[in-house]
Amino acid sequence: MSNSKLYKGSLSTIILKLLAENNKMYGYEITQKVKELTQGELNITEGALYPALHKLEAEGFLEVEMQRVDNRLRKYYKLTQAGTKEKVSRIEELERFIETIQGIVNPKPSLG
Amino acid sequence: MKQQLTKEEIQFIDTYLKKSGVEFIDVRIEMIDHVASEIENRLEENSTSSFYDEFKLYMIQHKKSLLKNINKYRFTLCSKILKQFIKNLFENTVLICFTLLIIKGLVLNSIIAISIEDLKLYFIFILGSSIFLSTLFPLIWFRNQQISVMKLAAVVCYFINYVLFRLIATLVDTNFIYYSIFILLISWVNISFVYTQVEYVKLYKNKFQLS
Repeated sequence: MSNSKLYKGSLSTIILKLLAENNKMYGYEITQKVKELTQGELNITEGALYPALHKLEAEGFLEVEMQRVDNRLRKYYKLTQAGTKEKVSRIEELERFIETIQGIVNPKPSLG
Repeated sequence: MKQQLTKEEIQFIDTYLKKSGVEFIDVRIEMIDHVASEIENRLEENSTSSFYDEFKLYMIQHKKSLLKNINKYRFTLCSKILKQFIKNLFENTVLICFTLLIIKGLVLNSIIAISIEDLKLYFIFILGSSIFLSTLFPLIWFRNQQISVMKLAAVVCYFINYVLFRLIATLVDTNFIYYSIFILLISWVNISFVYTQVEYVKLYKNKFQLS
């Protein structure tokens, strides 16, 4: 997707959703997972991903775990309890948004 | 099997990022892992290529995005630190230290009967040490590695102390009772600062395996 502005608003929802399904993930893994799920259509940049992760962490939705992997440290993110709750409401919000946009982009022909 | 980057190659990425202005180790750790993972992936796809070629190529393509927005979450972090300070005001350790401080002040005053001027000095000494511990000590402790949370916490401590001292100067300098109460309150706030900084020091020492 060339216009990254389109996904930026829903990036934190995507992160919460992925973490709910995968228990713990690190930054690079998230970018690869999104690429895989969207067949390369969505390419999350570092400049968008990390600030989003740090914001979610500072807000208390994510907790961090450090692990030593191959000569370096890896920062894993996990959902907190508050994060799990937040995920549910953000996904509902995103679904409603998608429906709304559908209504504009693809309006159903009205009868009569 | 996936090729793993060597210690020297990881060090190379670290030095490069440091020189590119990513001063905080906690921010850098994550970037190093990202860059290293991507390079490892590329080397796996193209086994004839070398670390330095892939590194150069990656930086040409991604450096701007990598270094963008690294400080964007500062404001949220500030409010998180403040919340932690406030929460720690009511931590047992902080309350016990604070109570001991008051008891010692009272003992000095009533039993040893030191003069009011000396008592003032005693309070100021305690206050000064706690401010030193909360603002300067963590920075001296981790002098080789800058950690964003702790530096920000020190700035927050400094700012709050500045405001409180401005208040004390304008409001209560003449009346000893008010002065003591105010100094005690500021000490309480600063004991909580110290406690929070010690928490951060422990966290970074253990979690990030820093020295």
